[in-house]
Amino acid sequence: MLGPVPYPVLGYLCLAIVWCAALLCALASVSYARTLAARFRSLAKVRTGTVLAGEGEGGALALHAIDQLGRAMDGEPPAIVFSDKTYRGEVFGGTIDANGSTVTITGKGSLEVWPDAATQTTSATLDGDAELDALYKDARSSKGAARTVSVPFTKGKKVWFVAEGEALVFLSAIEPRAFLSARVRAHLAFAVVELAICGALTYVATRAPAFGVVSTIGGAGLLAFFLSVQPVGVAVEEASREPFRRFLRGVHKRSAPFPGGVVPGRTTSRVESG
Amino acid sequence: MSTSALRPTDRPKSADEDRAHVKTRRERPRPQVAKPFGPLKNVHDLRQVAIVVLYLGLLGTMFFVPAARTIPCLLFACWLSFLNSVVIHNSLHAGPFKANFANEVWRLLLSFGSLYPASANIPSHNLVHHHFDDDGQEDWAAPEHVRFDWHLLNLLHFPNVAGPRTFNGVTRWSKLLGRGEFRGQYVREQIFAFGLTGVLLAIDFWTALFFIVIPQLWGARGILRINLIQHDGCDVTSEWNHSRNFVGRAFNWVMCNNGLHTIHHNRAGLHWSALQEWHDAEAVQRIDPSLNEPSMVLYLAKTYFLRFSRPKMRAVALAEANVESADLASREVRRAEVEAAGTSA
Repeated sequence: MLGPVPYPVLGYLCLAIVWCAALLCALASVSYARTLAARFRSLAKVRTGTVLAGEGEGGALALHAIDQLGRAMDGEPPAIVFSDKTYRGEVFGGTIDANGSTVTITGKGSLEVWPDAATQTTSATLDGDAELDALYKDARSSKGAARTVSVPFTKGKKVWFVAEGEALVFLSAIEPRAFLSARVRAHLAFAVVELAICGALTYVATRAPAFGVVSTIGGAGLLAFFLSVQPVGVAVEEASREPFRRFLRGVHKRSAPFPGGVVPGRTTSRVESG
Repeated sequence: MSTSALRPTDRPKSADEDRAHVKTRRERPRPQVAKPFGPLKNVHDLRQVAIVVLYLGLLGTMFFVPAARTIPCLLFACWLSFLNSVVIHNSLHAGPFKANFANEVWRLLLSFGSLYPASANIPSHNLVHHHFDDDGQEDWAAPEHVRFDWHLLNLLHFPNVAGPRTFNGVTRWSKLLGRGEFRGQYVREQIFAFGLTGVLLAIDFWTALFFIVIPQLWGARGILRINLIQHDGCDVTSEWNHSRNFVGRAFNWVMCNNGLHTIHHNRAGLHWSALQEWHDAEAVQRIDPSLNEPSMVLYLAKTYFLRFSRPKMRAVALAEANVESADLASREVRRAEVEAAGTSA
């Protein structure tokens, strides 16, 4: 007990640690997949349709919005990086054409709304340097530059929805069950693949002679696996966030440095050399 | 004025003050007498230096002296590694040395000790975690990131999710305007920590893995787990009931008062050696008694090892509802102060 500990004992201890982490990552992924699968089942009554009219601003039936905070980045050209603060959805009332029958929505209030990524990205894009310049002064300050990225659901937009009576309880611009089933498969695949990799590396690490060249390569592989499986697991989980709370974030760069080196928000202008 | 040099009991007393006013004055920060010692700003930091010297000395001994590669030494190294992470936490709130160069070298050693760049604490802990999600950024180490029903699995799994989120967040934060000094510091610490560990692995892979990397990772993952232990089931939206405290005196002596988490969050500029008296003066009366745990060991046993479910959250914030407000700046102001203080400790 008090003498030098045999390396094989420590080798098995390390294997136990790596397998514990691998199994926990797999278990967490399967658990997340189960949550997504439950959501998949809860959307069994989802219907498709097209927005006919809305009572919101610009004839919007509903709206998805992300409040973002922009901060200036280092380097040239000047750029602002945005982080997401809050995600919200709102329904205003209106009508949906659901394969020939008109569904009237009267309830107003907050709602889980799933925007499509392409429209959201387009809405988030700054309209040229002028818009970036307008935000830049606040983006340089500690409070940051606040903005809201909105995606309205207006006339003609294809939607997937769940309604109870005249109340809308779910609205999406993408096929939600396909999204969820793809993410369930991704989580299960991650769990299986990472366990398979761990198993393969364990096989290599335990080849005779113990702590020989092959065994050492396996050990180094397991160390690399231990350090990398965790960020990969987190990446899979973050990619599975429902579109309602999907990370938008984003970096917006100016097309060129500020004219004359005059930086918005600075009390003195910067003089470009040359 | 920085709160790093404050003392809750050194105050002028006036008989003319009314009762409420007296109460407010009692809690108002007052200058603390500095207790420097040689190159250290505060004599109490000798304890931190001793911990790190002992830890690094033990790592070196185990690596170079086969007779020292024992289970007791390994367990002791793991424990010291956790304390090394505690020292990282304290040192990144306030560098212990008077000279910047000494603090920079100190951070390199600490980074090697826990195999992560110590400066990561500035954005991840000082700015984001201390203010939870006040800035809209989700706390990268929030207890909600783990969701197993069996709470022990959450304790085991927490570093697997909090670690990557933290480093992703630090990377995003480091690209912001004015973070150039931080980026340089962060890269130097990575090169030193990973480089030296890599060299040791190249010299003797298995010895370095067993007697260097295991302790390093134990400490790094342990300090991440503390986020779960100290905040799960608390109300992070409240002013005084956002954290769980471990109030044992012996425990806090060894842990450099890191068990007193509420007052540390609310007065982050205080030197760790002053936390006990501030905890007694300000926090105790405003904290739900269930968040003042006498023993971390007992808490871990009853919360993670002797039950299979996650404890339900209680309305702990009620404890501060009927107590007079403390003379404490808002979170927004406190966060702005930390931002303005710069990026290097």
